[in-house]
Amino acid sequence: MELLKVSNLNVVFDTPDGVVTAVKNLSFSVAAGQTLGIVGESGSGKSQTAFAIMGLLASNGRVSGSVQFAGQELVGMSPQQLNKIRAEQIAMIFQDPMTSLNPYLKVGEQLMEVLTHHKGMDKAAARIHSIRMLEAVKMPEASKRMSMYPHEFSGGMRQRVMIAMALLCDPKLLIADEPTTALDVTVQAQIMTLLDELKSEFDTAIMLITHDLGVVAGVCDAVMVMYAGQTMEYGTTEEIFYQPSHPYTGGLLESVPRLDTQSETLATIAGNPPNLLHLPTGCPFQERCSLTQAVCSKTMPELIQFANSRQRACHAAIEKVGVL
Amino acid sequence: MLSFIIKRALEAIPTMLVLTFVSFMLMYLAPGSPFLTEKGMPPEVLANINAKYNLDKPLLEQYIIYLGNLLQGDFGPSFRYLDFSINDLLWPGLVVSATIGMWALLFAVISGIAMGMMAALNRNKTTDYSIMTIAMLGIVLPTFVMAPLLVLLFSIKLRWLPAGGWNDGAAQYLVLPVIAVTTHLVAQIARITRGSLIEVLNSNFIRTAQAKGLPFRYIIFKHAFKPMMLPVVSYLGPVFVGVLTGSVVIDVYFGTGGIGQHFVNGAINRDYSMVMGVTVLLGVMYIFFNAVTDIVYAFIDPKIRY
Repeated sequence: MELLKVSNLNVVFDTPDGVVTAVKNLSFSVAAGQTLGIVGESGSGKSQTAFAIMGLLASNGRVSGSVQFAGQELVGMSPQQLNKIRAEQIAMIFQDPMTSLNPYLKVGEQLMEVLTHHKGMDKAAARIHSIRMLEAVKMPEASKRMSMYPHEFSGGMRQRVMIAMALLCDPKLLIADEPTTALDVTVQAQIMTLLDELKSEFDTAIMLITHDLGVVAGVCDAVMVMYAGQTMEYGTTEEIFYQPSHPYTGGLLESVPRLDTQSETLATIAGNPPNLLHLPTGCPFQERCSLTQAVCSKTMPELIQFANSRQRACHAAIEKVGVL
Repeated sequence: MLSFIIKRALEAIPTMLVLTFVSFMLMYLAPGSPFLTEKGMPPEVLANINAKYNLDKPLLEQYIIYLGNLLQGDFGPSFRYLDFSINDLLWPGLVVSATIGMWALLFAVISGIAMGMMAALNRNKTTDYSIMTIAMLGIVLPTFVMAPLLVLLFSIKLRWLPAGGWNDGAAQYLVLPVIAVTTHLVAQIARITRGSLIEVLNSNFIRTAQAKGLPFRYIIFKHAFKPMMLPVVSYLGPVFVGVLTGSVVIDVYFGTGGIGQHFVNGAINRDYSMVMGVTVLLGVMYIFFNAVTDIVYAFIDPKIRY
């Protein structure tokens, strides 16, 4: 069953330099209990997609298209109605746990306020429930931590607090916006393991935004690859990793450092992501693509469905895309 | 917290010693004396007067005598207004200035913060622009322009309020001086609050609070208010002293009898003990209010601990 269905989502920002299209005609869905990875470089529109779903876009941002969550249309919903969805139905974890918690409030207070607002709990009940949730994210000495401030926690501990906070109301969907980017590698692994465990424990669907393919391989059921605000490719994790059907995906996979090859230099995708203010006509990836043809600079390839549920947007023949 | 207060009090002692010593020496080094008049006076009389005020003793001894008196709460006799001690002159004046200052501050803090928040929450809309225009006016209009304008309008044209005097602090005598002092403060606080709240609302933790589905009003007061107040508090600390000790302009225009007048007159008249009294008073107040600011800071920001 589809829990979240995003159709033709567009996010544009009015800036002094002109209109920036951050997300263009994006469609995807997340099924209940599924983990969808959204992968792409910085500036590919991953986070803005998440903010658009949550109604948290900056004030100069505009959304069009549709975001259906459990049958309700979220685009154009009033803030009061959205506040009923947020935390209760869809919760979000942010990139930087250092700045995402309020440094002026005790951690306990920041946890408990979710329960007092959404569940109508009194302080005592909210406290008990919050401590239990901190224990669920494997926070040592949970009850003592309640009266501490965020700066007294390490980065990994803060992200655990964020996760506990997100899961307090038992949401059906958890949007994790690069939850491990700001953390040490060892802590990253702990947080991802924790998310994976909690997913089955709470039966929550996860929309995992990341640029770390290693993270994707570990926990995601399906992957959507984004570039310049558009879907390049969609498929199950195995399909994406073993048979990438888009040159961008291929490039991303080749950029992962490997120990089993002798190469001295790290493989990269040459060039930079395009300026969203001046997108080229045709495919946004054409300038960096190894399979560019004449048609690529004329028309944007359509996102076509093939092999059951896979999708790709590329003019090049699928056989030509390098397989690792 | 108690140890912090004790520490600050102890730190104040050397500061005050240096302050009194330097200002004492500077004052005596400056040419002239309180008793030099154009007509001059017989040397015997001058010697008598100098002896009475200890001016014939070595400078260091004079300083030590002054310190000794000071420790007993005695600021010494005025060199200018015979039969008056500095205590007689300073304390009633301080009461007047502090009364005006307290009301001005109270009004400025409440309305300044309210105006700043309203402007920030309606950023780049008409409300914001009108509030900020008024605030800008308040900043560019100095007290010595505000005061006569207020008198002209409310006392002379409209005849609503007295143009000056104190009358034991009766309400109608307070209104104009308080307005004259507060305008600038309101404007400054409104501008600082606006900038601060806009910055806070852009921070990640506010976005987290929104993602938690908390009502906007709750987010403003629970999550944004404390960090918003930090720049306001650091502005208010030093301003407190200046406002509570009043200003020359207010004392001159409204004839309220505050201590502002003594700052200038003391120096012009070479009233040594008056200059010293004012210096000590201001020094103590600055030290006190800086410590208060630090304590308030610690209450707001949990990262600051003493």
